[in-house]
Amino acid sequence: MNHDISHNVTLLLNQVSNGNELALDSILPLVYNELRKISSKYLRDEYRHHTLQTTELVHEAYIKLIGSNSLSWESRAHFYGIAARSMRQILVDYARKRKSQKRGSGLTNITLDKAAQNFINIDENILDLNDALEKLEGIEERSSKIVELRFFSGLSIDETAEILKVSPATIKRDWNFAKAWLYREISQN
Amino acid sequence: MKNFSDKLKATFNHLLTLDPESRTKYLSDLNKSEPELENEIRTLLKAYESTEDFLELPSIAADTLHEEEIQNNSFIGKSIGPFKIIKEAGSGGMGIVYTGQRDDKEFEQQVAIKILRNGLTTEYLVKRFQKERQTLANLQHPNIAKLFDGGTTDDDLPYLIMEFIDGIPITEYCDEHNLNIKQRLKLFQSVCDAVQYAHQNLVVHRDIKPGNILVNKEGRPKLLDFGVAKLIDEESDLTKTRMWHLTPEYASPEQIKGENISTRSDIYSLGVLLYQLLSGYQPYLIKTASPFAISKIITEEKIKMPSEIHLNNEDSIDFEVKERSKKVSQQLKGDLDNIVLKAMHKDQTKRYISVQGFNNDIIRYLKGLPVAARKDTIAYRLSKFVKRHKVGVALFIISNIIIFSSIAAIIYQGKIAAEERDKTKIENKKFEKVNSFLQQMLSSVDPSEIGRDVKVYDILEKAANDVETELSDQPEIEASIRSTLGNTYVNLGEYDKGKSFLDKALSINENTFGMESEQTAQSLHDMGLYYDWVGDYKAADSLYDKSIKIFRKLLKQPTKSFAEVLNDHALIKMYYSDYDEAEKLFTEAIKIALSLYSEKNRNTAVFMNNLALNYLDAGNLDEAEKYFKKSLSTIIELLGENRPEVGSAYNNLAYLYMTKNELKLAEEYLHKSYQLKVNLKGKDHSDVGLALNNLGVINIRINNYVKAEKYLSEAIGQYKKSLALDHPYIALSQYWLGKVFLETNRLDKAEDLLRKSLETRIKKLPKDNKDIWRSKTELGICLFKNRKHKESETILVPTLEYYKTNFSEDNEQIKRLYDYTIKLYKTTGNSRKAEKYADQLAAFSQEKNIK
Repeated sequence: MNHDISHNVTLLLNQVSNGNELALDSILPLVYNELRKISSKYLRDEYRHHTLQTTELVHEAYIKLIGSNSLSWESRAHFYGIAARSMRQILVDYARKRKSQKRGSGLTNITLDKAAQNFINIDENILDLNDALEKLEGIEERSSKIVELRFFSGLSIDETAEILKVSPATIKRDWNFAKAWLYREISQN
Repeated sequence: MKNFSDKLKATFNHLLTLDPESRTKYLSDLNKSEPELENEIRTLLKAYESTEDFLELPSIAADTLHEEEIQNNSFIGKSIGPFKIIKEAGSGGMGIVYTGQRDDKEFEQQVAIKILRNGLTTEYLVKRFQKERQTLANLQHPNIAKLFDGGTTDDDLPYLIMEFIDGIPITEYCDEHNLNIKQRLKLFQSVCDAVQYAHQNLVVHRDIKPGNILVNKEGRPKLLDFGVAKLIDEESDLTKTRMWHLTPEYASPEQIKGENISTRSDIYSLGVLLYQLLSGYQPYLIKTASPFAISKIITEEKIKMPSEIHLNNEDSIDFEVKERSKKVSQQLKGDLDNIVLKAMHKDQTKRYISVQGFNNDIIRYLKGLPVAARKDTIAYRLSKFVKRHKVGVALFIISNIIIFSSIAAIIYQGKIAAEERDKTKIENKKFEKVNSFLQQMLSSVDPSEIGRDVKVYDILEKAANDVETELSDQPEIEASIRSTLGNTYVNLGEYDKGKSFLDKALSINENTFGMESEQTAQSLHDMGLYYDWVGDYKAADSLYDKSIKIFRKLLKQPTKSFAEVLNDHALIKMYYSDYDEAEKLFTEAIKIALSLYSEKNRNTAVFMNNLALNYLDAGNLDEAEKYFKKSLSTIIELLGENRPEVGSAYNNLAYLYMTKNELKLAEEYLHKSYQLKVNLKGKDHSDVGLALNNLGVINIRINNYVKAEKYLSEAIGQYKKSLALDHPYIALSQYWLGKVFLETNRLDKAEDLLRKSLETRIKKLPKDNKDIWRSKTELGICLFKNRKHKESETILVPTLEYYKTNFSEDNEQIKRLYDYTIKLYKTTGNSRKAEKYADQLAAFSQEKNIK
């Protein structure tokens, strides 16, 4: 089965590169499911106190789904885009459910505390971010995409630059802008 | 908006590069010109200052995730309609499947509820969900998962409520229950039923694979997941939706290539499934990810037959058959191999047209009947036939031998009869075809061992029915079987039946292979033979002509079939007295036969025989004798002496000697021939008729009218048993017997027979055929003798004139005519005419030096 999936996703990705956008929608569930599966792996007790980097999750998903197959840069771009989208969705899901179950969850700390090992608390933070990101998407598509790729897929500036086929400088500028914009948006609420 | 944001971004970025002082200045300037923009920038810049750690490397606390997962999904415990969601049953691609229980205590019902995943609510996927709902709503079949209801949840997630299937994929089921081939086939047939039903409702599944076919505890397979199904008449079929199949192993070449997908794609996938069920392997092992490579594999690579792949099973997927491998392979070999291959043909048009046809072949296989998929030969069909009727085969064999011989005899007739010869139908082709047809049925039985039972009609009837009911997708086979049956029936005298088969065969060939094809040429030949048999030589002539024209056009190398039709055509030419043309054709046929086989071959012998006859007719007696003898020795060498063909050869030699006026030799051979025939077939057989005819004739020659009458009467009796009443053979014997009666003064009888003979001849023969005029001669004479002078006159006189004009070399006959004409006029008191003719006769005699 593993064997199947990696072929399929690669095929589908290549299809997308060839202009078949419907394939995207076929990939989405695959990636999504895979990410969820991967995420749930860490739910065993021994991992309870670990933190997960979303980048790790995506990376793991990549291996599972693509394996050692080679992808064109386009395909990779699509993959990460999809993975990012999926990851975002997964987190939002969690947040929503968690929110609906807990009342008065209170944590409003948005800033990341490095000292606290980059924990973020998934409740309103993610939801707010999600909403804000949606808004940004309407105004500045590339910027929001960059945020998705960087934040949810964990890509670096250079990697993102490669994926989106623009210069790193451009990425940096958009990134800066996005951050500012999102922060402002979130804090205003 | 866009412009604004572009500007915003650009300005923002620009300002970031400035030192704080310049920045402030810029902003205050901007405030004057574009206050809105300035406000935006300012707030953004402020926000930016706090974002140093914002959005950097997010992580998730595992324990948080854990809690979420335990809850899994908020759906559990919720109700949808009258159903309560119990637990998760599995997750498919698009949605999660839960089990649900009916809530309202009305009755027990367990269902499956499929809900689209929360994160996947893209427009496309929602549509797919809805499409599945629509499709399933219309399908009601025991082997298709039933849809009960559908809708959307409060969160706008589409769901489907379906029949709950507690089962495992069909491949696993077969392995776990250790099903044998037959059982697997039966299971597969249920799946076919389901797919066929879907097709009838214009739905193509497009994703048939083991995972989508679950077998429940009762052993019933259920087809699932019509998520990618498509309505056949949907418009979007025309647009290229290159939906890549998620499991390329089951995808048909046209799906891979993105071509038009139809019900035949489902048939392909069913073929792959069957392949796996039978052999335990998948036909393709796709180890590459490259779409190009996959495409190549599926569209080009030849797969191993299910029976073959079984033999080298080091790494079997499912089947645990290392020991049983050989046995299974044996079972799969042949029909099952071919059925699978036909379903999986890379060319859509070469697959089964419908699932029904596919299923039918499996049914046939299970019944031991011939399958359509097999690259067919008549031998194969008949070997099946023999296998099926193992018990009754002995009987069949006996009766077959009769037919075999009789047909051989009928078609390999020597040309006999006195001056009047009848055309020998050396219908070799028929012989060959029927020969192989029956021979294969008989396997290795020697045809000279015979009995008297004729049950062959039963066999034929069965075969005929088979053709009717098992109409296969293979026109070649159908046409071929129909031809053989047609020919056989014709041979046995069932002309109408035979013709209807031949008609159909011809039209199938014309439609399938075209008007100018070998098969059509062959059918035209067959038809010609039919007409030949019923005595309509005109029709036969034109059909043979057509056939030959086509062969000449098509063939680069001469073939046996071509030689055969040449032979048959030549016989017609011979009948029309076109000896030169006939000689050409025979010679060509012999040449071909020699090049294809050698001197010692039946066909060669037959053609030589016919050429000899031609020489005989043309008057070249020496050549005739030479070839008759050659032909006879060949036959005896090849087949031995106790053969009907030998009997015919005897006939021919007898006739030759009669012509040479070596009557003793003639009678000797005739008797040999007659004896042989009686030995071979028994006295009651029809082709003994000609032998009798000739014995009668030769006895007339030696003036033994009693014997002659006996033989000829018997001959007619024989003929009437198997030939059409207006067949020239009968007319021939009627003519001779009439002559006997004439000579022995039984005039009424004579008149009756001669009239009949003439009637037939006029009907069947071309106007200038000598036989007609011979009959007229005798009838005229008979009428005269019987005192029917007026009528006699109307016949004798024109006949005489005709002879003078057209058969001027036939002195004896002309003289005879003159004699009786004169007698007639003398008797009726027309002395003037009597004199006139007397004078003519005198002149004629002088001219010809006769007295």
